[in-house]
Amino acid sequence: MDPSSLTSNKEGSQGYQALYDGLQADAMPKHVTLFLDGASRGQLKDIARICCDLKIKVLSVFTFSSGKDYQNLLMSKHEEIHDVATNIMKLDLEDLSRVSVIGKRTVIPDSLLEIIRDVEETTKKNKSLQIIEAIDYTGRGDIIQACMALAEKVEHGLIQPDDVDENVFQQELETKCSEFPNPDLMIRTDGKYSIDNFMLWQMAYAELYFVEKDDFGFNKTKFIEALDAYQKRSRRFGGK
Amino acid sequence: MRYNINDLLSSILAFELFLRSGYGCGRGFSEDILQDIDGKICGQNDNIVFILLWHVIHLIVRVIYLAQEVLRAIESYLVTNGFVTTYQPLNLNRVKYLGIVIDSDEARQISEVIQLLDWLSAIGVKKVCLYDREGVLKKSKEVLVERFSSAKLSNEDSKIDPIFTKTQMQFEFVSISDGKEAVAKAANLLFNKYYLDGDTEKPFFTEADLSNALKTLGVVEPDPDLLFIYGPARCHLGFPAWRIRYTEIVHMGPLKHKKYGLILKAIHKYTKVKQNYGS
Repeated sequence: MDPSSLTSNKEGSQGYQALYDGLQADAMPKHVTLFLDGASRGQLKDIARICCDLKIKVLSVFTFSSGKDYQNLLMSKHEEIHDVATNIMKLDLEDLSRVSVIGKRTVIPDSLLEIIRDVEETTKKNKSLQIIEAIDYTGRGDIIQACMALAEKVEHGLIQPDDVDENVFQQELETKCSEFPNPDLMIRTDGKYSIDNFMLWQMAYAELYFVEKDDFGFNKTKFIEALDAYQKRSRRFGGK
Repeated sequence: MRYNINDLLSSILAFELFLRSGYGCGRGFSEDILQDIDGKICGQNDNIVFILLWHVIHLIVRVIYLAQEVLRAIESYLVTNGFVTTYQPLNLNRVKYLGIVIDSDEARQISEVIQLLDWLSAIGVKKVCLYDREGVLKKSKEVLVERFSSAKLSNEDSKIDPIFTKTQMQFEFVSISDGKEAVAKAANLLFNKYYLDGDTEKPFFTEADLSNALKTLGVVEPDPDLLFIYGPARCHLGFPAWRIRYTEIVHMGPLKHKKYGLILKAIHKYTKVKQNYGS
């Protein structure tokens, strides 16, 4: 397949054209989840560009932190999300990325909340790629907040308990902000083999791709490798 | 001369495609250096010598990774047959609860499942959670429990190290109904308990509340420490999401291609892992 047919931008990303050789446009995942360690965080801009080129619709990002000080964690997250959003808006693409943030907003300082709202508002009209940033997010916490949201609906008579099934539950999770809430592919970059309490419900049928850690870190080449491996796998979503 | 170089280039490209079809589009640190050159070299269609050199380097890298795959297969053979003892003895204190996910089609080959459990019993694993989406293993519950419910001494028919003796195993059988469906039912329990009666206090649900609700539905086992996945897809196929927060997940390939050596290696590797449990 001609690599240029994969890209939405006919002019740009010439340096990436060789990387796309071998990938199939019709087998591209719609939603990719990235577990990024701090060292690989700088690659996010390039990976976002590749996602735009390959028409991947959603990129959700979970970044590990090494610091235990919560305030420092939030400040580093502030810098990271502002940096990602700013970099995205500077990309020379026709359709820019939409940034969404999931996690417990109740524990985020007001100054950071304002920045998050500003970024979400500024980028909400962008269509080509949605980037979901997780801040203070846990999979179990997401399930619990969905329980509480449904409990309020039950209390107000909007829904009966017996009406709550998997589909109704899914619609209350934080990933309801996305057209494609369930990851097709999960990539973890730090050499560990767990999903660390992230999107537990949503990743029921996600392909799990664990990258061995090396001195060179995770980069766009390894991201393409992960996509290639994903396309070679047989996915049946639990069916026959 | 140009015609001959073109022929050689075509042959190398064809072989590259063959390797790429089996081993992905490139791995390792070498690709990071090579791909930066790719855009410059391959764009220059007139410079056939550089293109040829580039593809030769590509080919060498792929051959290296093919050799690594072969070595891995040989290692598994050596470990399985006891020639390599690197992964013994195992510290099974860290693997208190092992989860096994099997593709439902493969789970129908009950003899393969029994052989796998035979090996795990010989290694010393005591508690196993068996999952397949359609509940095929649940239907074989009586057969499996009866076979592994009593302690046995060394099995002379097995190629397993005679130092290992089989241990009595405890099983949990799980399917898709114990996953998302169970969480939805647990939520219903909480709603019925706290939110239908207008007089009772409305609590803010916590993980403990949902865990207790799941226990009421019969989900009482702990979270697996390690999860083996047997099947074509590297996916846990809907294993109860509530229970795999920090579970290490290892894809072992198709069940029919299982290897005793790879199981030992995977367990040994897990026992050496430092887990931060989200911190």
